[in-house]
Amino acid sequence: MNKRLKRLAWIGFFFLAALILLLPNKAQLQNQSELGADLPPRDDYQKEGHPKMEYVLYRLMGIYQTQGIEKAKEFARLRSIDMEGDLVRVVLESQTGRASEAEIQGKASLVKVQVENLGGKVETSYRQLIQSMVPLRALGTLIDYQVVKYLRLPLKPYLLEVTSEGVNKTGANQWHSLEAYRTQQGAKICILDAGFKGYRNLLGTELPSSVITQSFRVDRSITADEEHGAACAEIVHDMAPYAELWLVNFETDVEQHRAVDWIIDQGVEIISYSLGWFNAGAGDGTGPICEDVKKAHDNGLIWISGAGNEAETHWEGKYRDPDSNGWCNFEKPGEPVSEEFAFYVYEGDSYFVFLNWDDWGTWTGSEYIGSEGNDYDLYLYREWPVLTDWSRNDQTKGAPPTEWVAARASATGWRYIYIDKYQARRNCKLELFFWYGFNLEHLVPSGSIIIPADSPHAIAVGATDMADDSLHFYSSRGPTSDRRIKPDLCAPSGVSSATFGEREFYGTSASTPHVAGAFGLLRGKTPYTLEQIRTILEARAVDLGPSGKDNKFGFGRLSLRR
Amino acid sequence: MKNKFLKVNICIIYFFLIILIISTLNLYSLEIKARVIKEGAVLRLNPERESTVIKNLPLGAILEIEEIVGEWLKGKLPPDERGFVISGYVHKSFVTFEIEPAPAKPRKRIEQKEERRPAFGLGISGGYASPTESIYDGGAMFGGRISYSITKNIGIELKGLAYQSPVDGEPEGLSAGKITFVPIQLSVLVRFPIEKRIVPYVGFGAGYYLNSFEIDSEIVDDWEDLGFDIEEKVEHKLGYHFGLGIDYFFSSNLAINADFSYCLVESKGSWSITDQASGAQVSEDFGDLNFNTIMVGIGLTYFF
Repeated sequence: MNKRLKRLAWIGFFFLAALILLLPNKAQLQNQSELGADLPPRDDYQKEGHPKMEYVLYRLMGIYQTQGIEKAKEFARLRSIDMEGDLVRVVLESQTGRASEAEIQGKASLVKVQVENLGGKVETSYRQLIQSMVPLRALGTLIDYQVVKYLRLPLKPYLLEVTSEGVNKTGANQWHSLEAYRTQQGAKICILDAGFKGYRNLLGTELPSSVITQSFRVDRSITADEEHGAACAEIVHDMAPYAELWLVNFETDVEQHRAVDWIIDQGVEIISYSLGWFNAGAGDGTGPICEDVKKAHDNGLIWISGAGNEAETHWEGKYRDPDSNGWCNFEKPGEPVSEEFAFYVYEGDSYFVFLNWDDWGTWTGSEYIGSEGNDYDLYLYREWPVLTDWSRNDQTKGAPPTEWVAARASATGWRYIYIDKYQARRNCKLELFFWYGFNLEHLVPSGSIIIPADSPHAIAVGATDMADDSLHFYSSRGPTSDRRIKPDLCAPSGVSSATFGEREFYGTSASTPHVAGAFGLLRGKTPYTLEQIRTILEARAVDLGPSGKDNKFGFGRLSLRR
Repeated sequence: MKNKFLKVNICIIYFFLIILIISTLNLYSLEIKARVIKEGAVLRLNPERESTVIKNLPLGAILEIEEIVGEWLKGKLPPDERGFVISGYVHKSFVTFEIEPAPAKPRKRIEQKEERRPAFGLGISGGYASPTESIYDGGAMFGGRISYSITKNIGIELKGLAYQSPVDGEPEGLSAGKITFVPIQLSVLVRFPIEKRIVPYVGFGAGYYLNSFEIDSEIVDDWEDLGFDIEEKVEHKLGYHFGLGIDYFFSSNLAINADFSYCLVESKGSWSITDQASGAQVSEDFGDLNFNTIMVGIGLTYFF
C-alpha cells in the first residue's frame, strides 16, 4: 500500500514537475522577473500606461516615481534611452489633423513653451515633431496638455555595419582616368550617417582634401564617437575621387528630417545612407523616414540606401493561436508549434527585439491614419520564466502598431520572446527584427528589407562577396510588404578601409557607398541624369541568382563595365 | 582673344608675303643698266686694264649690263644712228647701276593679251585657312575654281575648297577632334587692273559650307571600351565672305593669284552619348558654332 502510495506520489511529483517545466502559466509570468517588479499579467488586466505615451516611457516614469532616479537611469541605459540628470530625450508630436502649415507651427510653438515651462529644453523640431529633453517628473503633466498628440522616444537609426577592393571589382577604376564627357564638375554626394570619427586624419588621402561637414545632433558633434560614416565616405571617395563630399550626421528622426531639408538646400545630388530603422513604418515605402527619401527624390536627389543586414535576424508571419490562449504560435517545419521564440545572445551585448504588424493605416504624408487598433504586446525572457523586458503600447488608443524590448545580456545564451494578442479584430501579419540576436529559432529572410530601403524612391543595396559574388548571408531580402522586389542592386562587401584598419568592412553599409560612388562617378563623367544613371547601372549589373531582378540580388552586382 | 588677333596678323603677313613673291617675279623681268659717273671710262675688248680700248665713254652714258666678270661689267651701248651696237667691258669703278622696267616690247604683248583675254578661267588653288575661334586650329586648304569675266572689271567666280581644322575641344562645344569644311563659294570680283600683268581685285559673295566633324579616335575608343557610343555632328550652313586679291599674268592664258578673304559662317550641331547596355541616351544641340575663317590662298588659273 505504502509502496503504491509512494509510487503514486512519485508519478504525481513527476507530472507536476513536467507541468511546471513545459506549461508556462500566468503565475510564473507574474512572479519571476530579472527586474523583479511590475510583472505583467498576460490577460484579464487593464492595460496600464497612457494612450498618448509610448509604453517604455510610461514604465520609465513609473520606475522613477517608485524607485528613484538611479533605477530609472539603469532602466534607460539598458534600452539606450538618452538621459541627462533627470531629463529624458523625447519627441512630442503635436496635433496636426488637417491643420495648415501655419497652424501646425503654431501648435508646435505652444508645445515648446509648455516644455520650457516644465523645466525642459527644446533641442530641435521639425513641423509637428519637437525633440526635447524633459524632466521625468514632468512627463505626466506634458501628455495631459491638449495640443500634445503623442509622446515617444526619438526613433534612432541602426548602423548597417558589417572597407575597398570594390573599386576594381566593379570596374570603377577604368573610369578614373577617363576624361569627362560633356560635364564639367564632380558630383555632390552626401554621406548621411551617425558619426565620422577620424575623418580629419583621412583628409587629402582617403578623403578629398576638403569636405563639408554639418552635424544635426544636439551636441553638434560631427565625429559623435562613431567611425561608421568615415568608412562609408572613404568608399564613396574611392569610387568617385572627384566628387564633392558632404558629411552630415544626426541621431534622431527629428534631426534627420532637418538634415534632409538642409541637404536639399545645399544642392547635393546623391545621398549615401548606410543606416536603417526598425518600427518606423509599414515596410511599404511609407512612414516618416521614407517621407524624407520621397522628399529628396521629389527635389531631384537620388537616395542610396542599405538594404539591411537582417536576413538572419528577421521573422514574419501571421498571428496564429490554435489553442486560443492569446500567445502567438510559431511554426517550424517538422517540429511542433511553439509559443516561444528562441534566439541567442552574447554576454555584454545590448540587444533589442522590434515587433510591428500590418495595422498602420494609411500614410497621409505626415502621419498614419485609420489604424484598426489591433493590439499585440511583446515579452522578453532571459530564460523561462525569468521575464526581462516587455512592451505594451496601447494600440487601441492610437499608438502605432509597434512594440520593442531590450536588454543587456548578462550571460551568453538563449533568450525568448512571446507575443500576446491583447485585443485584435483580426490575425495580423507580425514582423520581428532582432538587433544583435542570433540563431533565430524561426527564421524568415524574405521581407527583411529595412526602412527606408523599402521606399520606391530609394535604391536599396544588398551585399555580395568580394571574391565570388555570392550573397552574404545577412543581406536583407525583399519583397517589401506591398510585394515590390527589393533590393535594387548588390555591391561588394568585406572590403578594406583606413578607418577600420585590419578589420574588413562588411555589411550593406559597405555596399551602399559603392553604389553611391558609382552614381557620383557617372554623374561626374557623363551628362546623364541621375535617373538615367540608375537605368544604366541596372542594365550593367552582373545578373546573379534567378534571371532578371529578384529579391536577393535585385538586378545583380554593381558593374561599371560594358 | 589674343589667339584670334595673332591669327589675323599671321594671315595678313602671309598675304603680303605672297604679294612680295609675285613682285619678285616681276623683278626678274627687269633689265640692269649702268650709268658712267666718272671721266676716263672706256669700253675695252676684254676684262683687263691692258686690253684694247673699243670706245671712250662720256659721262652719263648708259650701258645695258649683260654679265659681271669680277670687277668688270660686260655691257653694250644703245644702237647708234646706224644701228650698230658696241659692247665691251667697263671697270665697275666708273659706273653706277640703274634698274629699269623691262622694255616696252613685252608690255606691248600684254596689252595685246589684255585686249584678247579669254572670258573663262579654270584653276587650282591652295593656301591656309584659319578659323578665328581659338579652339579651332588652322589647316592647309586645296580646291579649284572656275571664273568668268563679264566685263573688263567685273567677273564672277565659283570656288570649291576643302580644309580640315583640328579642334582643341571645350566642355560646351565640340570635343577634341577634326572638323572638315568644304565650302562652295560664289563670288563677284571687281577688278582694278593697274597694269597689264597685275590685276588687283576685291570680291564678295556667299557660299554653302559642307561641314563634318570627327571626334578624336582615342576619345571614341575610350568610351567604346566602357560600352558607350558618342557622336557629334555639325550642320551644313550658308555663309558669306569678302576679301581682296591679285592676279599676275605670266602669259595671256596663265595667271597666278593670291587672295585674302574673311568668311562668316555660323553653324549648329549636336552631340549624343548612348549606353550600349541600356540604350540610355543623352543628346543635345550645341549653341551656335562660330566657324568664321580667315583664308589666305594662292592659285594658278588657265584662261581659255
